[in-house]
Amino acid sequence: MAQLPAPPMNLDDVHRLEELARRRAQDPKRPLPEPRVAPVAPASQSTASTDPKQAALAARLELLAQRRTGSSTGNQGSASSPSGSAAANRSKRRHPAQGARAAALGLSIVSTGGLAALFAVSNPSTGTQLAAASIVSGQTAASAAVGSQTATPAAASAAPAATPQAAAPVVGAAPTAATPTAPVAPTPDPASQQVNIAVPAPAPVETTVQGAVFQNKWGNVQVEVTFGADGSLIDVSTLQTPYRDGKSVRINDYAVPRLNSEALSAQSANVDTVSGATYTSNDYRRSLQSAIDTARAAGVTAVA
Amino acid sequence: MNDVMWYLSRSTGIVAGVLAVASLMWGFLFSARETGTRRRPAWWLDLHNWLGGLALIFTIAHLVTSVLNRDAGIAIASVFVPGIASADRLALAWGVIATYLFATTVLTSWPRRLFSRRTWRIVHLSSVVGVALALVHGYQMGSDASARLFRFGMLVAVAAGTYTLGVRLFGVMAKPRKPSRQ
Ligand code: HEM
Ligand code: HEM
Repeated sequence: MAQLPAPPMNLDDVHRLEELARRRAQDPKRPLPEPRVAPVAPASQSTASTDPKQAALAARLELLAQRRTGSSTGNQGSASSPSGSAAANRSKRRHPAQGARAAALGLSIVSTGGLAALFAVSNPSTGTQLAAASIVSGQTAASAAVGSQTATPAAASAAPAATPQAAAPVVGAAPTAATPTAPVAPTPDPASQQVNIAVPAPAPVETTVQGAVFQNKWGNVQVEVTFGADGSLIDVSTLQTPYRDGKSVRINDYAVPRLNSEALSAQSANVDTVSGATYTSNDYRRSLQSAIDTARAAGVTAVA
Repeated sequence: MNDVMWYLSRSTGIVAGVLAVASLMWGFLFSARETGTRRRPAWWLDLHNWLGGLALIFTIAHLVTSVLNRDAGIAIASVFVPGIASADRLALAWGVIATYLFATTVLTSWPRRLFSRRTWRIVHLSSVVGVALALVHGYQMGSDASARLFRFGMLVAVAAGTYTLGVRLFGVMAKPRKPSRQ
């Protein structure tokens, strides 16, 4: 604390006034201490006061004291300062909230550590699933099932039910053929049979499946897989990869094509992590696996 | 290592935000003279000053850890110049501006007698804008911004800050004879 030119009344004065007022409030009969409580600081050049200032202080003090007596009960006790040394009193006067300061500092440090630990524990390098995989077009469980049931609304809605959960995204989880489900009669639906030309499973059509959406620390990952009529993976692409920060974009620019081509050559979700893209790789695998599982459940048979 | 920095940048960000809001509240309540009878006004002011200083310190820790988290791809320059970040440009800019405002507020507060009361107060009140910007920044940028608890905390912070602002403004209107010694 640099010693600056003293203003008419500085904060220390205010603190001193407060302190005196508090004492007086506790004991109204106590006479106003004539001079100030001696600030025995060694470096007290600036406290050498002049008379007018003293008078102003006294007046202010009187006012404060009167105010205090009105509500004198709740003042925190002098118990906390057991007539301690002058030095202790002085620092107390300078930092009246010493205890609270310590508490605030402690709390802040503990919360920082605690939150960081919490984040570490709750953050595996794989994300949480936001939405399940869904079939966009082609083969479905419904069309793979025995002919007569295929397009009843019940069966159509059973298709996405084969996937982990019903939190599927907006994409019509139903096959293109079954999109007009609602208005259609509940009996066998000719429309679906027109489109899904091959009623007997496995249908010789390409099937496109959107994998589950996984959210990790950088953003969302979701793949889209196209299966050939023979059930092989003929195309894998990403619908979502983290894009919020430049670094993610740069990483994914090289990681995603590699993941895609690896998936195609592996014909499975068994792809290696691309270095530097751990999170994307992990969730890519999981999204791809969910797409494959969904397709298999719908009757898209694997080649290998 | 990057991950540790990532966790720390989030936790220091949150703690800095809480401290800044608390400092704001203590400042408003002190200035509004709504300090109750349990604690002396000096206690409120002292704690206010401390909270403000701590908020700045945690903000600095926050931006240092943000830069050290190489995964976040935050260039050093974008910490100093608002609006040049390659991604999340605006969200980051709010944080940078808020940091400048906090720094100015805190650093002008110790030698505050060098300024006229009016000037000092205008500078000091800019920190209110800083707090608002910091909250927007955290909301737009945070990995946790979509977490329920985070949003709830944000709501509480905004409500509490607004309440004390209200108390302060109400005080100004109720007693226009606000003693402002020049
Ligand atoms: C992030 C940091 C800070 C914020 C957000 C902040 C905010 C505020 C606010 C909102 C007020 C009320 C002003 C009014 O209503 O007129 C105030 C008052 C005050 N602040 Fe701060 N402050 C900060 C840091 C500091 C620091 C570090 C100090 C001193 C070391 C300080 C000293 C004061 C004083 C003395 C007042 C009383 C002004 C008066 O009523 O005349 N502040 N502050
Ligand atoms: C130069 C200044 C700043 C920089 C470079 C910066 C940088 C960042 C970055 C990179 C994040 C994203 C962290 C993540 O979730 O991965 C973030 C989030 C955040 N920042 Fe800042 N920030 C700055 C200033 C501030 C200030 C002044 C405050 C508040 C006082 C603040 C509070 C927050 C909060 C609360 C979050 C959200 C943390 C979470 O999601 O858990 N930041 N900041």
